[in-house]
Parts: sequence; C-alpha cells; structure tokens
Amino acid sequence: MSAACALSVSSLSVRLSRPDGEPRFILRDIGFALDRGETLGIVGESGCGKSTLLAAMLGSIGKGLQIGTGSIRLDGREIVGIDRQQLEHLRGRQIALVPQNAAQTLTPSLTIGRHFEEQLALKTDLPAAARRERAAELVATMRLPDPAAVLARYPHQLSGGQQQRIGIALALAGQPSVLLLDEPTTALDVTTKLAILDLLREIGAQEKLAMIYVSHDIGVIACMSDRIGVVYAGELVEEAQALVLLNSPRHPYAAGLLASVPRMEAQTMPEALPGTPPGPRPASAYCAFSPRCARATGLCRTQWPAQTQLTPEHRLACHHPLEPFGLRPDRPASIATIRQTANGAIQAPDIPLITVESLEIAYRKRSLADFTRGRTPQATVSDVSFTVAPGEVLGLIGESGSGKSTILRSIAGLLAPRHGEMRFAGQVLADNVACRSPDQRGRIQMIYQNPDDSLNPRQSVRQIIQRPLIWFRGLKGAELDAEVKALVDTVRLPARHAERRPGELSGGEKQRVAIARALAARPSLLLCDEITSALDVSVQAAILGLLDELRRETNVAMLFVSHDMAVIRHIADRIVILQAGRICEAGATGTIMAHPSHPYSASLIAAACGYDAYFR
Amino acid sequence: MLGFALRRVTVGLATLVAVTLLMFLSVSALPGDQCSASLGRTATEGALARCRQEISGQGNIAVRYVRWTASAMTGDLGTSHVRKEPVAAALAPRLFNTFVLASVAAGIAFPLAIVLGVLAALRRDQAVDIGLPTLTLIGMTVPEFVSATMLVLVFSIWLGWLPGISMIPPDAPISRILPVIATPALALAFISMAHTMRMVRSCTIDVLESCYVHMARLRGVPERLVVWRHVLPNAMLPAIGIIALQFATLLAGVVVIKVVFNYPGLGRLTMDAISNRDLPLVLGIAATLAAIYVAVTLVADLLMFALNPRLRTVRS
Amino acid sequence: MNRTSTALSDVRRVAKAVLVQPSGALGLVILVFHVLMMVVAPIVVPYDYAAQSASDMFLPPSSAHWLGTDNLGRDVLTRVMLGGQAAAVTTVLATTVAVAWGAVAGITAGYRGGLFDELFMRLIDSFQAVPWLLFVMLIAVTLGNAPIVLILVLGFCYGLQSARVARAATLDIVARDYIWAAKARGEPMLTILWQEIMPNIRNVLLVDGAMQWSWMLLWFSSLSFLGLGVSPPHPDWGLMISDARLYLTVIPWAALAPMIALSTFIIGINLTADAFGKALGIDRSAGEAGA
Repeated sequence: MSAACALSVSSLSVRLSRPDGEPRFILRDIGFALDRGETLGIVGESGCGKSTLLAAMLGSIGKGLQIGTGSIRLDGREIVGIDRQQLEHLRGRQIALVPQNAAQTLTPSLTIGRHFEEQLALKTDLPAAARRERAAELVATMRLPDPAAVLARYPHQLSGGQQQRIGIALALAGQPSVLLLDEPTTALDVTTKLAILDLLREIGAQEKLAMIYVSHDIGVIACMSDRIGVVYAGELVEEAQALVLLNSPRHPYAAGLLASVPRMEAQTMPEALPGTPPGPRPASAYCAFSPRCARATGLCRTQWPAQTQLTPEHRLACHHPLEPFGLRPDRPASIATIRQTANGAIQAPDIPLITVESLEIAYRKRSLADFTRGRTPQATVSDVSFTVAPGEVLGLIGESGSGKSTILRSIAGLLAPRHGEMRFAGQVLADNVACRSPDQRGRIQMIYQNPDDSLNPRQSVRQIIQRPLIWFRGLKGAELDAEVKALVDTVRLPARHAERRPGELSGGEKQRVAIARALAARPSLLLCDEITSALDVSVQAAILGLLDELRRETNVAMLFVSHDMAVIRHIADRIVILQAGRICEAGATGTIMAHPSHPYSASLIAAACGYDAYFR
Repeated sequence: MLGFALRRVTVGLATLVAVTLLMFLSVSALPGDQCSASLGRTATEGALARCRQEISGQGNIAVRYVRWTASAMTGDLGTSHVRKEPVAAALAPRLFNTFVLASVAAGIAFPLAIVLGVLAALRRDQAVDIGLPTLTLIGMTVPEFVSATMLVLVFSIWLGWLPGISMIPPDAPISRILPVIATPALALAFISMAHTMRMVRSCTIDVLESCYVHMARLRGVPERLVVWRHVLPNAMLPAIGIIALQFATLLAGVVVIKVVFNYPGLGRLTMDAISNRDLPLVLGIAATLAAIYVAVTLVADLLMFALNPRLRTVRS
Repeated sequence: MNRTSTALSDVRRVAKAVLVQPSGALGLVILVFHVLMMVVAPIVVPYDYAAQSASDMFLPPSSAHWLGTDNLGRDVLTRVMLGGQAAAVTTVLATTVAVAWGAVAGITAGYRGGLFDELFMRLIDSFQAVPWLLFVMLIAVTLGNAPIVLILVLGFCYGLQSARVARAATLDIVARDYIWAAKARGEPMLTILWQEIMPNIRNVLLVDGAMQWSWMLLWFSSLSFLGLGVSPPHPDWGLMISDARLYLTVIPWAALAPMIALSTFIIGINLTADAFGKALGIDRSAGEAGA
C-alpha cells in the first residue's frame, strides 16, 4: 500500500455507538487498496454493510455509528478523524459519489445549471465565465443533447436516465481521483442502464479514476469491475481479480452467491443459498458464514478466519476454501434444461386454461378533472391477446411501465379492462372479481411483488394462510389446523413461523407465506407479479426453485411477470414480450432466446446475455 | 399559470357559494322564524306579521338566496334589523380594525416563528429545540382567552408594562386604536406564532432529512450554503401556505380574544349580532369571514404556484 | 388464546413506551389526577358550589377558603374542583360523535376512492372556509345550550377533521396488496374494512380522538367563556374565568385557579396523546400537514 494508491483502506471497523455492553460491528477489519484507473466491485446481500462502507469513505457514517479502528487514506492522506471543514474540502474534489437515485438527490428549487455552478465554484479555480463553459462540456460528455437547454432545466424536467447522467457529471465536476458508485443503475430501464454503464467505463478509463462500484446486481459488477470484493456480515471475505473471482471463487459464500444468479447460458436452475445474513455482530471468535455453510467444521465455529493472501491479488478469509475451479460439481439437470432442449416443439396448446383477447386497459381511474373535461384516461395496455395452457408457465416480460402488472390485475378481476374478453376454463371471466363465481376466484390466485405490502402486518401467518382455507374451502377446527401446517411445510417454512407476524420474518420468508396463501385456494392459475424482484439473488433462486417444484407436483399454470430475461428464461415455457402496453413478440422461450425477431426483444436479450460473457 | 389561476379562482368562488348557502340555509331553518328572531321577544303581533309578509313576498328560499347573492355582489349585504343600518356599513370600520390588529400581530408572529422554527429544526435535540416546543405546546393548547387573560394579569396589572383593556368606539381613527393595540396583538401573536413555528419546524426537518440535502453535503457543499441554498428555499415553499392559513385565522378566527380585550373588531360585532339574533348581520359576517379565508388561501396558492418550479414548469 | 396473549403483550409494550417518555409520564399523571379529582370532587368539596354569601365576598386565600372566594362570596376551591365535569363529559361525548361519524365518512371515502373520494375531499376542503365558531354560537343561541345540542353540533364540526384523518389513514392502507388480495378473494366490503383495514388504522383513530378531545375542550370552554356553554350557577372553568375577569385586579386567584386547572387538563391530554402517538409510531405532524 504505497502512497501512490488513490485509495487505501486498512483494518477498518465501524460499530454501533452504544457505550454499554459488547461492541457490535457493522463493518469489521476491512482492507483493500485501489489505484487510479482501477475499478473495484463490491457485492453482497442486502444488510451486509455495503452502504456503510461507502459512507465511511465519505466520512459520513450515520448517527449511532462510529469508526472503531482503522484508516482510510485518500492519495496517502488520512481521512479518519479529520474535522468537518477538511471533509467538506475533500468531498467532490478528491472523492465523489454517484448516488443511487439521482431524481431525489438533485435540489428541486435549483436548475441543473445552478447545481454545476455551485459545484464548480466550490471545487475548481475556474473563473465564472469558464465555469459556464465547463458545465456545458460536462453535460456534453454525458452524451446529453443540447447542453445549454439541459442546464436551464429543473431536475423534475429530466427523465430518470438524464437525471442519472447529471448525477455522474456533478460527481466529476471537481475532478476527483476516487469515484464511488452506489447502485447507480438500479432504477433504470435495461437500455438506459447499458448506456450508462458504457459511459461510466469509458469515463473511468479516460479520467483514470479509481472507482468503487457497489451493487447487489452481480451481472453489473461483473461487467464493470477489474477486481471484485465479496462482503458478508460486514467482512470482506474474498477479494480477487474479477475473472478469477467470477469463475473460481474460493469462499463458500462467494461461490453460493454466484451460483444463485440466474444466467442466460447456464443449463441449470440457479441454486439457492439457504439462510439469512446476521445483523450487527459482536467481535466474535467464529466465522460469520459458518451457520449457512455446508463446509463448516468445528474449527469454523470456534475460530474467526483471518484474511490470507493466496496470491498478491487474491485474498480470502476462510478455513476451508473451495478448490480452484471447484465451483461446478455436476448438478442435476433440472426441468429448465429439458424445457430448453425441447424448445421449438412447444406450441400454443389446443385447450387453453385461460384466453385473453384484445385486452385494452387504462390503469388510472377517471378523476374529477377528466370528468369535467369529458376526457378518458389513456390506455396503459392495448390489443393484448395470449393463452395459457394447464400446467404451462407463460412469461410476461417488459420494462417498468410496459403494462405487465396491469394485465395481471385485470385477470385477477381487480381492474376492469376497457375492451377485450377473458375466458377461463372455457367460461367467460367477468371483469369484476365480485361478479365471478367462487370457484373461478379460488382457481385464479395472485402473488404480489412486494411481500411487505401483500401481508397484513396485524395478522399472524396462521391467520393469513387460513383465511382462504375458510373462505374457499370452508375448513374448520382440526382439519383447518392440519391444512395450515401442511401449507407452511409445503413452502419450506418451519412450523413455529405460523404464530409469527410478517414483521418478524425475512423478505424471502414473507414471500413464502404469500405463496402459501395463494396455494391455500388450490389454484389452477398462479399470477406471479415480479415476485422475486424485491428479494436478494440468493433468496430469488430459492423462490424460483420452489415454484418450479410446485408446478411439477401440482401441475399449476403460471403467468410469470418479470423484467429480467434471465429469470424468465429459467421458468417460462413460452414468453410474451411487452413494450409500452403492446405485445412486440411472443413465442416459445428457446426460439425467442435464440432468434429474436423484434429489435426490442433482441436488445433485452443482449442486455441479459452481456453478463454471461464474464463467467466461464 | 393563467389556466391554474382561473381554475383556482373558480374553486374559490364555488367554495364561497357553498359556505354562504350553508349559512343561509341554517339561518332560515332555525326554529322561531327570522322575524321573531330579529325583532326579539318584545315585538308586537303587528310588526311580526308585517315582517313575515315582507319575507314571504320575496319568494321561496332559493329565490331569496339568489337575490341575496346578487345584491351581495354589489356590496349590499342587506340591512340589520337591530342596528337599523346597512350590514355593510356596520362591517366596514370593524373589518378595518380587525385588519390592523391582525397585521400587527402577523408582523410580530411570522418573522419570529420562521426564525425560531428553522433554528429549532437545525438545532434538533439541543436546548432550543426543547425549550421552544414547550412554549409551542402552551401556545397551542391553552385556550386563547386564558393566555390573553394571563397576559393582562401579568403585563398590565402586575408589571404595568402594557395598557390594559380599554373602550374605544369602532369608528375611532387609527391614531386612537394603535396605542391600545399592543396587548391584544401580543396575545394574538403568541398563539399564531406557536402554530406557525411548529409547522415551519416540521417543514424544515422534512427538507433537512431529504436525499438532496444529504447529497449536497456529500458533494462537499459547506454547511452554511447547504442551509441557505438547499434547505431554506425548499422549506419556505410549504411555509407560505401555512402562514396564509394562519393569517386567515388571525383575521377571521380567534373571535374570543377580541372579546377579552373589548377590541372594536369583527369579534365583538359577531358576539353582538349573535346575542341579538341579528340574522342579516350574522349572515353578512359569515360571508365576509368566508371571503377572507378564500381570498387569503387563493393568494397563497398563486404565490406558491409562481415560486415552485415543479408546478410552474411543465415536465418535458 | 394466543391472540389475547399477543394483545396483552402489545398493551404492555405500548404502556411502557408511553411511560419512558418524560412528557408522556407527566401527561398521564396530570390526566389521572384530573379524572380522579372529577370523580371524588362531589364527595369531598368543602362548600356548596352555589352558596353565596355577602360577608364572604372577595376574600383572599385563607385556611377556611384555600383559594379564597369570588365576587359573590362563593368558595373558589369548591367551584374549581367541580368546574371540569360538565366540560369533560360533554366533550368526551362530542368527541365520540365526531370520531364516529368522521371515521365512517373518511373510511368510506378512502375505500371507495375515485370520483366519490375527490368530491368528498372538495366538500371537506370548502367547509374549511366556514366560520365554525360563529355557526356553533348561532346554534347555541337559537336552539339553546342543552348539552345534547352542543354535543351534536361540536361533534358535527369536529367530525370533519376526523374524516380527513380517517381518509388519509385508509388511503394509505387501501392501496396495499393485502387489500387487493382480499378483494380478489371476493370478500365483502365490510369484512375487508373490519378484518383488514380497521386493525391497521385503529391506533391512528384513537390518537386522533384524544387530540380531538383536547381541541374540543378548548372550544367548549371558549363557548362557556362567552356564556354559551354551561348555564350559571353551575360551576364551569370557562365561565368562572369569564366572571372573574372583571375583578382581575381585586381577586386574581378567582381567575388564576380555574385558568390553571383548565390549562393543565388540556396540556395533560395533549402530552398523553402525543406520547401514545409516538409509542404507536404515528407521526402526528404528517396527519396535520394535510389539514
């Protein structure tokens, strides 16, 4: 760690500042060094301390936290413990942050131009006239058309992608040597996301920036980073060159995390990583991952693994690391593989379970203003038709705002379409759920995107699951209890969870409860609305596995909505691609993946495939 | 902007119609008809009969409401049976007095409330932010006649710093009103300040906790600039609405305090009109108060619209 | 059985969370003191509240009259101890009326949504321009100040604010997916309201009710102060302050005592409600911002 390093962090620990009791750590013994022109990607499940690490480097760890030990050096200069003025001076000039959600990080009362003016006046020595020029130049670097017009606008007048580009340009205004990127593309559409990643790579190389890229999206990390660090429970468990780490992870956690990522070219389903990461931990004398680790031994549970240097560029903290390239044991080929090999053979079935004919839906209800002006809200979805056969999984894919959730709501009877017809099991399906027969209502069940929102926080898991049992199947007493128990078991939850409330469960567990509630009605069609997008990859893999199993056991059909090609690919027999409320392509999964006929489908697939290039 | 202004004015007028209609209907629906109410218990049968005939000659209630509205638009709010003078003539000088009192109170309360509210937000969990809420709590919860009486007791009677309650006729010139205005204005200002400060504090805290203020700090903007450039302009925007509502309350509400000080404003007149069952006057006062509320909120909305770039400019 | 034990532990947790806040503990102590006082006052008061005595007029505090006497020679302590009951009872009932109709209206509007809700809100908004005090005074003068009239009129006026709070709380819940799930099951509206929505907004309504009570007391005592609330000679704090105000220079105690009693009562309610709001995780300022 010479003074030449743009950024070096050594034995950094951050803990909850509670004077009483044992100190609890958010970050523990983190160390790495980064040269100019290098990018370090940091991955880990949520709650592993990624954001705290970024905050520490900006000298801005939140209230209630304190830096325990360690040092952070920017161009050789210590920043731990320096005062506020010195920090204010450094920020923006030496180290800058590109935030996650640029829309909320631009001050609404100031124009874009004023933001640049402020930053350039504070962080550069340019005279006023040159500052205006420089601002326009920065905006132009971001490939935004008409910089002068952009500078004159207010933040809310820009699109999400434009705001994100401004966020990057503002970070670069003071010509920092270190750029921190906090999931800067999470909120963006696939196409915008790719453009921004390209831009970041280019600028990083051009300006010789030392970049730290934090994300839970391993695909993005893979294509951005020279080196990758894996964080678990606030510890840097493995750090290596990107290609080495992606293809030959040595730490069981790193390997598990990578195996859970759905991939476009893999022949197998993503593998779940059981368990959840622990909260803030005392400086305990055991390996934080040991409770979830298949390789853990007594040694792991009694002795904390210190970091070892495998090669000058590969560091690891594990007692029982995997062999090099030991990641791929022969996993059993799952249904996904079979489905793909059989691709072209799957045709639209003869007797569909559900048929949707030229659906047109407006998401917004008519408002008073609409009423007085005699206008009708614009349609979100138009001319959409498809069928789903019994036991089939139809993937509905599209970016946010493409109307995919709107379609599901209409099929569930929660949003009346303006035109079109729906038929279920040969019978016409009424628009309004209240007009459907109890049998129809029970046989169509929906699972929602966000489990925090789909479970009533005031009810226990038992109450949530037993409601449809009572309502649809009239169960009582011992029979009811037995069925609740069986359902809890079906979704692989421990029986004791039945008495808990949603607030006491993790995200993945909550989604399992939501699945159990849907299964309770004995559905023949499950409507799955982005059900894994609010979850960590490791949990997502488990939920996908559960669904795959369910459909093999119960032959339930699914309408599976997602924005992620790689996820859809593993679960769907056929896919329908939506763009701005219309179907742009539909067909068997394998066919479309291999030969997309619509340019939009091709770009979606390309975006998802891009990541695979970095894996072996 | 013009479209917004037009829409907002329409809503304001509709509100005014709704409110006057409600008051008109309740005045008409009250038991003991208008005549016995306005002429009082001592009225002769003859006078009552004449009055009733006069009213029924004006047509049914809908017609009467339309007529009343039409003449109200020309400034004629009818005639007070009790005072034997046009309602508008009785209202005008008191409205002016109320306006003077409210303005003085507002001049004291709002600048203080803004400064203290922002300070309390910036120095959260410090002495300022513990002392001020206590004061706010007292100002907001203690009935206005209690705090007013307390003010008189302490500052006029015990310390002798402020003039006490004095009798001035409603049409006294402003030079006579101003000297005695101090005590009621202070009492009003105290209450108004409590409400305003609390709201300003919470607006400021919202902005202080926003992502963009956090990000400005992370960009290395000095704290002083963060406050002046990023926090205050955004916190003051909702504050305009709050201040407008408080000013409307100062003008139209807080009747009781004006009674405590015997101030010749609308409050006193309202009390008189109600206890005398002077219904045309009650109606006139109600319409005036509603109009004040509508006008003040209208001005505030237009101001907020003009100052807020989110509303002013369209999304492209 | 399991449910009751959870409910009990919830109550215990909330009570603890209220009492650890110094302001909450103080508020609760004040409130309990006042309520106890109101209950025992009729038994323990030293004098008849209406007994006038020409020889005892304008007496300063002494061992016979701890808080002195008023302009009619009545014992101030007796009247202060009894002076809160009428106000407390009337306002509790009026609050119940307000929260009840306000909640029903607000929940319906929030649940139905769309055009109905928008019209409802417009109506409530325009009612903000109504000079309510004038309205209430007018009713009290013409219909008389019988408690039932005041309860209904105050209940009506304050229900508007409750409706706003209930609607905001309902809107927040109604958009959640568990409500959609219940609708998709085809559950009747009342079941959804009672099983799914009510448990989530109950606390908000309770805390709002407590706040409403304190505003209501403020209004009621103002009416009494103006001579439109409780009829003399029945003791009432507002009325006592109004009477004693004219003799402020001579017998300040006759005004101070009811002023302190009334103020502490309202502050006690406020502090308690605030502490409960915090303990239950309800942000009161958020509800007010919409007002």
